[in-house]
Amino acid sequence: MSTYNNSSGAYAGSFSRGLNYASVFAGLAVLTLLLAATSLFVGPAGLSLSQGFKALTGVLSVDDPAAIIIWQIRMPRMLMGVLVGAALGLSGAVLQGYLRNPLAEPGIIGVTSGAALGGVIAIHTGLAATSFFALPVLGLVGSFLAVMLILGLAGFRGSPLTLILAGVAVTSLAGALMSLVLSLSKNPFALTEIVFWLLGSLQDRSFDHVVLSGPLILSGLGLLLMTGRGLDALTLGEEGAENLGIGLDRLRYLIIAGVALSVGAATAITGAIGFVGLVVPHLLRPFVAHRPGRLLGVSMLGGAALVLASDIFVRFLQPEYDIKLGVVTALIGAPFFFYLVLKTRRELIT
Amino acid sequence: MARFPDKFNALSALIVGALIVFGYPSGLFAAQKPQRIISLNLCSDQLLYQLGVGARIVAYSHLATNPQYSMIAGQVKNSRTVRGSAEELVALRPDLVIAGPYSTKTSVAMVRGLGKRVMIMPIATSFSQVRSNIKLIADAVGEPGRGAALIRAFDQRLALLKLRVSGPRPRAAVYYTNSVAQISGSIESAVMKFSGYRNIADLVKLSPRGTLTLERLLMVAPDMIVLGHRPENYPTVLADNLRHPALGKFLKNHAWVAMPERLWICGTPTVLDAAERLIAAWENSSKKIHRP
Repeated sequence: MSTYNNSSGAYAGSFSRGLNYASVFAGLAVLTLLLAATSLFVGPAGLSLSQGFKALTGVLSVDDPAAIIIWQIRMPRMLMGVLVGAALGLSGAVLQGYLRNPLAEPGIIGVTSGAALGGVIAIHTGLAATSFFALPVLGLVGSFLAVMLILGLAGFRGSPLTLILAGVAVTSLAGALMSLVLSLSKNPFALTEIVFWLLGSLQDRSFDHVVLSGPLILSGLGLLLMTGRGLDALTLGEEGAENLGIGLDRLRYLIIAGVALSVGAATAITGAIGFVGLVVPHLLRPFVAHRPGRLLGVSMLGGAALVLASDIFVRFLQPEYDIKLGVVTALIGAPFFFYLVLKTRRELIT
Repeated sequence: MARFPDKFNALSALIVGALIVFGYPSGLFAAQKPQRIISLNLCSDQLLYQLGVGARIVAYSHLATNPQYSMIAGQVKNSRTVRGSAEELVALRPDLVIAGPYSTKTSVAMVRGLGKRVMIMPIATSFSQVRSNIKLIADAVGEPGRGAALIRAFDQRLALLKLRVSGPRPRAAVYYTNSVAQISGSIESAVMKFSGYRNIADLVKLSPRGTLTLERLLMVAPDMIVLGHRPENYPTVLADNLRHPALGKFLKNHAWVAMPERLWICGTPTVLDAAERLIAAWENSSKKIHRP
């Protein structure tokens, strides 16, 4: 393929890449749909395939336990997985493109920790019980503050080192405050709950949660998807981007608002699911010719697919134990992180 | 308070044994009734109150004033409560400290080291242990007569309730925060059994800590679902299983009953309130729902 491209010039090259991009996008969309469908058929209830189909197609009465399980338990769980995965994958791609830093990711730079802290505060102060919107809104505020803090600490062109240091600082601060809130809580389950916030889970997420966070996450995704052209231009440097007519301030606001909305609202519902935003853009970058703008759509789908696959895996492995999603994503993501650290170190040395 | 594995029963039996051998004689030598009693355990709080020795209590446990767990919250709300640090205890100059087997271990050991009389009350997981705990506390505070009367009243009510239990034994699940079902070897399961139910935890395979996910609860579909926690009292994501719309939808067509923790968190005569509630729940549901 590549020899053909080289010999037939630039036009054929970009054409071939375009085709490639479309097929990658379509492939990921199909994968996500397949995983979403599979997700409806996996769970501790051990429903048979035929029961599942009967419930889905409405053959069973809506009050049948199997129908309740498929429609009221697994369906919102799956939708929430798609939303949170899309938010994390897309935010990772945008942050990596904007900061031009391979280690940028909502989890590592502390945005998810900030959101989780917001969620913990909403629940344990009782705000979430009094106001329907307190949970996603406080998650959003937490992630917004974390993004601002990171950009303030690390600077617009933060080197990998300052960015990671700032991320560690924000993450440990948010983690400590979370432990503080949970320790002060009178609730006997508060300390058990910390695992949920640190590792994330889709267990018992309902349509209430989807309705609560969905609009916020979707609007955040919308804002982030508008950054594609700006991110492409940024590969030429800030001056180059401004020469191309990109408003850098506008780009920055889009990213701050988009990440805070999508990751904040998602994490307030599911806890902090790590590494999705790191791994997915890196895996997909070669398929989109390393163009940050093109990475966005595919990372969104890839994130959704990864979270769905992880959630299927945890339910398949030990349905009764509620293994947290973050365990699986970290098992995939941490080795990847090692690889990136080694690569970054080599680049720093040479 | 009550969901402890069986092996602890052996431990508590040992402790009781040790108490009888070593603790009782020192009580005899004390000769007069203790006048400054500290209770460090919710269950001894309630037994002491029911024995009518409230005037001699210098401090209750911190849970005694919490209406979610305590039957006597209203009555003792102006009383002094302690969390159980050694410093607090010594300052109150008690002549008897009654504690549970697990919490406040270190401070209780320190207080004992200072020569104070300390009694450990085991956790009751059966009706016979309810009786033995009443006797234990009543003897310790020098009111064996009141203890015997309390046990008599307990047995009379038990016999009356027993008359209402008959017929098939429906399957029941007590469902809690964090998707846990009540496992056996607890006072709650003893109450369920007495009230004519079979505990679902004995009928289907659960994880050791009794995890029963919402999906499986719906599939297992117990004849009676006992909601052991009110989600409003548990502001935690772990109680989302109880807030889940799927559970609400399921319960519309199933028999269920809410059980306040305070009725059966402790093995005291109050557990018969819980039993009565469970018995009545089945009587009512059999009337409403026609069963083949």
